[in-house]
Amino acid sequence: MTNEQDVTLSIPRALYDRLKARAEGTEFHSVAEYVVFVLEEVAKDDDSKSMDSEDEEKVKDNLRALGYI
Amino acid sequence: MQKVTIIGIDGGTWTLLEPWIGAGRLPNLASIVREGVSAKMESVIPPVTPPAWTTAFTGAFPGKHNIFSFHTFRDEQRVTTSADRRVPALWQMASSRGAKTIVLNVPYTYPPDPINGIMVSGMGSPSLDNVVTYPEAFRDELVRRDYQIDEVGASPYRIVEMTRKHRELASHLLDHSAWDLFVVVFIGSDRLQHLYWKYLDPSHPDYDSRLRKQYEDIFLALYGHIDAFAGKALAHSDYVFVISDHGFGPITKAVSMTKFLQDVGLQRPYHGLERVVKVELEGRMMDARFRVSRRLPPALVPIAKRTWRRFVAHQREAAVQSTSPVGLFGQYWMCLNRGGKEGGTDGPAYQAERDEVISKLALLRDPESGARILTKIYRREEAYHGPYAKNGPDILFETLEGFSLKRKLTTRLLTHPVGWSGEHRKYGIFMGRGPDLKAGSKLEPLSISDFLPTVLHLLAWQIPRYCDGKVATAVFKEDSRAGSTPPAYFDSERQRAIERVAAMKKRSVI
Repeated sequence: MTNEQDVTLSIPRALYDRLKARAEGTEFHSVAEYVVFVLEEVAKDDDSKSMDSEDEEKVKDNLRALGYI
Repeated sequence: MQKVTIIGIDGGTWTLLEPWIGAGRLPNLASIVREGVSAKMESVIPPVTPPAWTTAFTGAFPGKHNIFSFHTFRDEQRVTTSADRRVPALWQMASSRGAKTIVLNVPYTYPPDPINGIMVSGMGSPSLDNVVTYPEAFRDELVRRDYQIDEVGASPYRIVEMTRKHRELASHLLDHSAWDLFVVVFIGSDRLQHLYWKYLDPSHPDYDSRLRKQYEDIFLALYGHIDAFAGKALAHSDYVFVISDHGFGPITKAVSMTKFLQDVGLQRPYHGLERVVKVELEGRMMDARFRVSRRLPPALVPIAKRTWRRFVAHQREAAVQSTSPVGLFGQYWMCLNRGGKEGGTDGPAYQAERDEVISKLALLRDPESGARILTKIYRREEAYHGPYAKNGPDILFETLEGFSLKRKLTTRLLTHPVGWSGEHRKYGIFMGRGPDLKAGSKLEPLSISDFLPTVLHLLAWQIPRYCDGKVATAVFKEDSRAGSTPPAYFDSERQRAIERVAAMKKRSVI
């Protein structure tokens, strides 16, 4: 799948073939999907917050009101 | 694809359901039990909502899926989000196979996953002002319905009312959208059971027979909404499953863990003025809080309550920012103050200190019976296996049934429970009805990790090999396809990629 937001990168044909063989029969339906997934994992900051501190405080308020923390 | 509906009852337990089903009060759940399979289902360690639902929908235990509780246990306690989940959930697997999927109110699924259908996040979402839906535009439907994700107040009527809204949205989508897989979790059952278990259970010290009927009617109003939705689902699905994340039972005694930890030298005792403030005043302030809240203008009450809770939380955290061995703890877990130990959590200093803490925790006993209150104590690596096992708390425990561990310092170790009268239990429920499932069959207990592999096998989908659970073959008729073919597994390239990248990051290669 491509759209206007995507850019094109080149990778060696031999690597493409190896990745294609590897992705076959797995959860990935294309080499592009496979490569994007791996690169997203690489780029991910494991300790990054997926909530800003205001939202975090809202969830904590709910948990305190419920008696969970 | 065959149409599958999965109904989650948060805290659903046979202790409540069996008598109501037997008395004809929940006719649709009764028909699932009568014409399908049913069993107890064993939860995770610890049996709390975020890791338990995540295990049900991933087939993996917390050491692999990385959701351990309502918050993380790393250096700072940050609230858990769906971004912490490190294995795909059933709805992601279904979406990637092109199945139309609806997912409503599953706890700890905020932010929602982009799926082939509609997803509404559950408990753990900040508020309806946030993007709690996929697609984002579906939020308008929630606003139009005055939808409510959760109810944090104590009014039983509001909890039932929220459950009505959950049922109405689920029913609407069941009727008016295309779907192959439909997942909905009802959270209200857990809310009601924590607060009002005492009115249903004659063995509870606060049981009052005069209030029983009133509260049983409230519980049945809530369970009636779930039962009615189950009836609708039965009419629209090939398969209906009803499961819970954990069971439920009474709280009969409150244990001041802070008193115990201070007595055995694992937390710093309060001195002088601090003691006066924390022990003497806190009790009185609690009483005063209720008197004051009655005089405040109603609009200010939630703000006052929130401010008070933040103040208490801050005091508690401040009290453990010290050189004491034990840091924060909860009903099921305990963290050590690791601060700068040589060798980190693999080092001998950490191991020795944790062993010392565990040996002291074994001294916590019921003064009346002499029984150990912490019936099982696990080191983190005994409770968890997998690439994220290190993210769990240092120590986990199971408690004697009925004992609730409290942070409040009291002068006696054991006190009468206030607030909650019900708490989680290890065994929840499993039931299912459909053509390939046995009819009228009561089975041996399943593990909650078996649920996902069992559903995948029923749908003739391959099962990722990393799953901790196994296919519960006993649920299938022996002559059915699912009952007569062995489960098919695949090596997850996705998982291998995650683990390899994690290993490279650990070695600072990337």
